[in-house]
Amino acid sequence: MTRVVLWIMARGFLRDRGALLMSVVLPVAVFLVFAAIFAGASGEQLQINVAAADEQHTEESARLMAALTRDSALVVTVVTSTDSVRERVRAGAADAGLVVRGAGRPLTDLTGDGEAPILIVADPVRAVAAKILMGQTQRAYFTALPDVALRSTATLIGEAFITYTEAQRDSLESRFAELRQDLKESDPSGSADPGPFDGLMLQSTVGAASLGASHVAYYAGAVAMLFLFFSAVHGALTLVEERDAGLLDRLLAGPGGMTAVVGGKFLFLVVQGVLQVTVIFIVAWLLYDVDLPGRWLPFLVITGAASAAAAGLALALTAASRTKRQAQTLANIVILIISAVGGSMVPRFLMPPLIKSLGWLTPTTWAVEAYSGLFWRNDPLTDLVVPVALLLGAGLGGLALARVFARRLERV
Amino acid sequence: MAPPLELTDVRRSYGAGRGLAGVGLTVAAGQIYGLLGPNGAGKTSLVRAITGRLRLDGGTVRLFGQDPADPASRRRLGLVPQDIALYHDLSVRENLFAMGRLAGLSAAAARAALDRALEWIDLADRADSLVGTLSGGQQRRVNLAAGTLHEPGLLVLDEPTVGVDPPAREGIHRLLLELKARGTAILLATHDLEQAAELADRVGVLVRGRLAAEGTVPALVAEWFPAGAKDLSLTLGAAPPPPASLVLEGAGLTPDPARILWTGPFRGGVDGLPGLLASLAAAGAPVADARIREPGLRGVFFRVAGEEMVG
Repeated sequence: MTRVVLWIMARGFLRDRGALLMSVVLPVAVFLVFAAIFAGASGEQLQINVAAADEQHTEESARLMAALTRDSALVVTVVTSTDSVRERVRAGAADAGLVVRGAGRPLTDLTGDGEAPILIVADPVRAVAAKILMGQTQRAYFTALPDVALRSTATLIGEAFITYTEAQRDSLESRFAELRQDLKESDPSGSADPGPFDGLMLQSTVGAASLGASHVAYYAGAVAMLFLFFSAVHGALTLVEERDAGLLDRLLAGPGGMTAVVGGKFLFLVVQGVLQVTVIFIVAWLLYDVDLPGRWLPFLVITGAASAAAAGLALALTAASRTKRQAQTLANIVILIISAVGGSMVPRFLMPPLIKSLGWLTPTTWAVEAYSGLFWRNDPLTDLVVPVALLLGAGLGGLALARVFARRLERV
Repeated sequence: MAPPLELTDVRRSYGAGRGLAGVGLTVAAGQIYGLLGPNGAGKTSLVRAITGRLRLDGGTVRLFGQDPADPASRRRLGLVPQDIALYHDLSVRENLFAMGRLAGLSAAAARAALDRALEWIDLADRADSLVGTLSGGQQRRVNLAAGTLHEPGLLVLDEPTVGVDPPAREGIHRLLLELKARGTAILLATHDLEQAAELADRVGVLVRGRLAAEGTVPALVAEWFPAGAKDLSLTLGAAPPPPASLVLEGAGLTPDPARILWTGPFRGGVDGLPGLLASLAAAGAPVADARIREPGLRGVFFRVAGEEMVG
């Protein structure tokens, strides 16, 4: 009995050549994409986009900027001011920012009065990018400016330890004791004052006051897109199910024909998608202070467009398939790839550059960027026009494609 | 005025001799046309051609004089597919409302039509039951009602009583005769020869994509059975040896492909049957089962289909 059931399942699997091919070949494609993405997430191929400005315009600051530009872990875009750096980080064009500050101490003076010479601009959504930039900046400082580092240390020694009187030795011992005490009292996470050599850099953040809201703005959009796609495919599969059940024969005998069938399903999937995403964002508002009530209209516009994109794509994939098994396999795999590349599973800035660029071809990235722009970066509404137009275009394009593919079901 | 359905030389080839090979027929208002044919004869293709879903190699299909590819012409067409083409997770009322709207009725008209339909199919008390919970016969009645809500001038039915018990079948027949009385033209594609004989004003036998016989049942019987001949069916225990085959062919019978079942007009009548059976036994082909009837649609169908299939 068991063997017979096994045989029946195997025959069905082998007979549907399209589904068989997709079941065997496409997972390999998914594996390769995921491997590339997660390899990036491990840091091996990580490249941080950095916006940098040199306000000191000294020989030392120029050498530091040149060293940063040469660093293979960084992609440096040089801008002219602190404001420009902050704007690029806020807008997501850069993962983190760096300013050699005109208002700070010279790079040659790490211990004097005044603020640190280097400002690191961080986006809490991509906090790790700022940490990486700080590490790379320290490395660049000590490798590109060794004379400056040595001069700073000599100055420090000259000022504090040049005369070894009894009182100075006592003072030195006392200072060492203080340093040891500071280390004992310091937070293991490193957030407390690390000591007197912390004079090189200062960190600042951009965007919303609530760190939670910023993370949620990213992930709410990312998760919403993933589930939008899955729900849309589930709904679109009724096209194949209705054909198999004979319902399509009856629907197509009516005056509305296939255009009414595909159009009706598209509209339902859009409404379903809007409800689904709205629920996700209501939870995000209630639990994480995402400002949904204040921006409900642009939210609805983005969500309607995102739902249209998911509906159009799902219908096109379903209509292109000859069997339900083909439709399910094809849709699942396409959704997984789009979601992975688009940023639903791994934050986009952790991806290798190629995958990150490919993300811009996916509706997931357009939607995630639009939601982040609206709820986190406070982009002007005009900045939402392009992603919304792309999402709508994808939705209507998918709908048109589905209508074309459905001709196969309509007339035989 | 153009007839509800008119097919002229409809052709569509799928290769290997399959498809439609020049079908022409007309169904008038208030007429039931029974479309018979063995499996693979082209009935489903013909139904698809009528609903505008088949690309034709040649010929024309006209619904009330219009091309069925034109959506407006399909407003006067009702289709009852062989499958229970209903949403099983919707109630009877919801299904009928949806089907009425899809057929082009306004919401108010669809509600009025479904109320009438529920009375007509005697399911008003199950109106709010999910279709999936109904019996097979009840589902068939809803399936029929769903195709008639908009009171189509032409109703096409594909095996409307397959899989239902005799009382449910009779119920469907009654509904079809009521539709006919209202002037609806009905094309009934069926394997049920008794159903076709009982209901159809005209019958067409489709074999290998062409109408091999067409007319009223009495005219077809007169065409395929000589006067006084009976419809004889003999089932042998095994394929007959050559001498027995000569006896069978001499009696005017034709075999099925396995040469076990022999049917045809038998001029000898009831009185001549014992002599024939004795001759066959003597020729080495004892008969396992013998049936002799007055000629009817069944005999015509086997003669037409048998000759076409064998020849």
